[in-house]
Order: sequence, then C-alpha cells, then structure tokens
Amino acid sequence: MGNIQGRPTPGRAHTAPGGVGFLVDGAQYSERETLNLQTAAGTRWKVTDNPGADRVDVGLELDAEIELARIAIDATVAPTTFLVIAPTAPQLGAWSARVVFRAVSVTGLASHPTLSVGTNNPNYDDQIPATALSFTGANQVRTERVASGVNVPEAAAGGGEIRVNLSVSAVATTYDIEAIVLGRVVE
Amino acid sequence: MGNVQGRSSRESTSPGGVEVQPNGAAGPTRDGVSLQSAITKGEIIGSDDAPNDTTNLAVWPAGTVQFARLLMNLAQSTPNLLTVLDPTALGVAGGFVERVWVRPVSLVGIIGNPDISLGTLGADYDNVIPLATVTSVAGNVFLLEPAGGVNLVYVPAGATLSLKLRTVANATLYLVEILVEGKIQRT
Repeated sequence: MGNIQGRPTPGRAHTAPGGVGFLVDGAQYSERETLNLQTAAGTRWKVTDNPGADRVDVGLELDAEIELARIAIDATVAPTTFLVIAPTAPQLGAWSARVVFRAVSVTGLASHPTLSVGTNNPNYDDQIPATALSFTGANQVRTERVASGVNVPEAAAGGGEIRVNLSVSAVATTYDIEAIVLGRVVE
Repeated sequence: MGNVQGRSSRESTSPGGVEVQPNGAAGPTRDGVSLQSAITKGEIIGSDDAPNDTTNLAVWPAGTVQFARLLMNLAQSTPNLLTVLDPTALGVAGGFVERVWVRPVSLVGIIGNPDISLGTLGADYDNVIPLATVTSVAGNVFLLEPAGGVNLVYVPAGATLSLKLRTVANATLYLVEILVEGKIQRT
C-alpha cells in the first residue's frame, strides 16, 4: 500500500491530501480518500466533527440487546445492591431482559444467596424476580429472564436506574459470582 | 504499506496517513486502517467505490438486533398492518423474530386494551406471535415472545413479516413504540 496524494483540498492551493488504506481482517482492501459509513440492521453510526483536535469522532451504537453490565459479586457479604445502569440523555431509558449468573468460586457452602434485578424500588425485583441460586462449584451458569406478557418498569433517564440486588447472602467460605445483565437502552 | 506523510497537512503540505485515537486518546499515525472482526461478534463488510474514491463500510452485528421500531397509535384502526421485516429491502438473505417490546409513549383514557399479532402473509398474520392482548402501563415495557419448543416462521428474501392490529384499543390515545428484535442473516 503506497503513498496516496489524492486530490487537493478545495481552496487550499498547496495541499495535496492523501488517502487512507483500508484492510479488512488483515487483507488489503482499498486505498481511498473517503470512508462512507453505512448503516446495517441494528446499527447507528454517531459521527462528530472535532476540528479543534483535527479529528472526527466515530462511534457505533447498537439498537440491540446488549450487555448492560458485568458485575463481580461476593455473595457472602451483607445484603447490598450493585448498579447496572443509570441512563442519561440523550438516552430515554433502559430495561433488563435477562441476567446470567456465572459461578466463579463456590467453596465451604452452607446456604445459597438470593438475587434479583430491577429499578430503584425498595426491593429491586420488578424486572427479574428474586431467585435463590444453587451453584455447587465454579463454571456453572444460570439464566433468569423477564416474563413474557407482563409489564416491567423502564428505568427512565435522569434518575432511574437498574440494580442487581443481593437480598440474601450466602453462607459459604467463598461464593463469588459474575452477574451479566443483558437488556436494552433506547434513545 | 508504504509512505506515511503524517499530519502536516493544512498549509504547504504533504499529508497522508491517519491518526487513530481510541476514545480520544493519542494513537499511532499510519497510512492504513485494518478493520478487524470481533469474536463477540461483528462482521465488517466493505465495498470499494473507485469512481468516487470511496470505501463503504458497514458493521453487521451477529447477535439479536432491533430491525423495526414503529410508532403506532393502537387506538386508531389505520394503519392496521405494518411491515416489520423485509429482507429484500434490507438486501439480506432473511431473518426471524425473537421478541417484541411494546414501549408506551402516551396512554390516555384507556377503557379497553388492543390485540395484535405478528406473522407472514396470511389471513391473520399470526404465525410468529399469535393474537395477544397488550396491557401497557405508562413507564413500563411489555414483552411478547414467540412460543418456545415449536416451529416458527423464517422470513426469506421475497417474503415479509408484518404486525397486525387485530382489535383497536378503546382509548383516547394509545401511542406506543413497538421494538421488534431478532436475527438478520446477511447471506
């Protein structure tokens, strides 16, 4: 891939701007001076010109179920909550659809913990109800989800939030889990 | 990959190259950018438009995405049929629905709730999500899913999938967003 001088910039008599070479998965693809970002199903490009820094900021947003948060939880500690997301403008709101609990370390087990996911109501259980886990060792997973055909509250931007609630602690030497919360954010 | 002229560009210039900054932090300047598929998992699709000296770029998520977001007043009888997936229009091989979220925007004077269904061309458009009553509550999202453990309709190019309003809401206003999620298969 060589030097591309390309076309001069209009109104800049001494310029000879270059192009950029593009490779896809390591394979040489093209050398062009323009990159056209195209929308595919479930994607939105967010492009902001930043002339002060002589750059263009490019983000790719997904209209899709995404991982809202991945939270490491020591389920032997006192009951507590863990923030998943607090949506902010221009987001309109967010809600969880599923949570996957993954056992990282379970030893010296006497009793299991109980967890739920929801908005900031007293019990944080209005999206995914409280569930007692039953892990007996590492590398076990369990999925809990929003029920079909019912209403679940959306966490609105500007104050609403979603949390994982550890409502009953485990009695164990270790009961380390990962809570992977999947859901939607809408703009 | 050859000569990189760097960022000298604006005045008397031999430009070329691009500085790639991850999240605004300083990064390397090179004359090529290699776009790499991620395992979690996007497919990068390029097309070279030589006459316009342009590289087209799209990213296709391999997971569940939103392929329709409809704003409908379910208290009105028209439109009572809206296309939510048209693989031909998207230029893809096909797709299928995994779930539908109903998100209220404005609910006024509700006396009776609406019925909807989702399916391919047929008498009732109900072979993906059968007749279901939406019972929206302000600030809540309502989930509808196809049944598990049964055969569902795959929508190939040439066919379309539609949402049908079967019973109009008895309400002054029943304005909702309908988010249809599923899998798009590009090829």
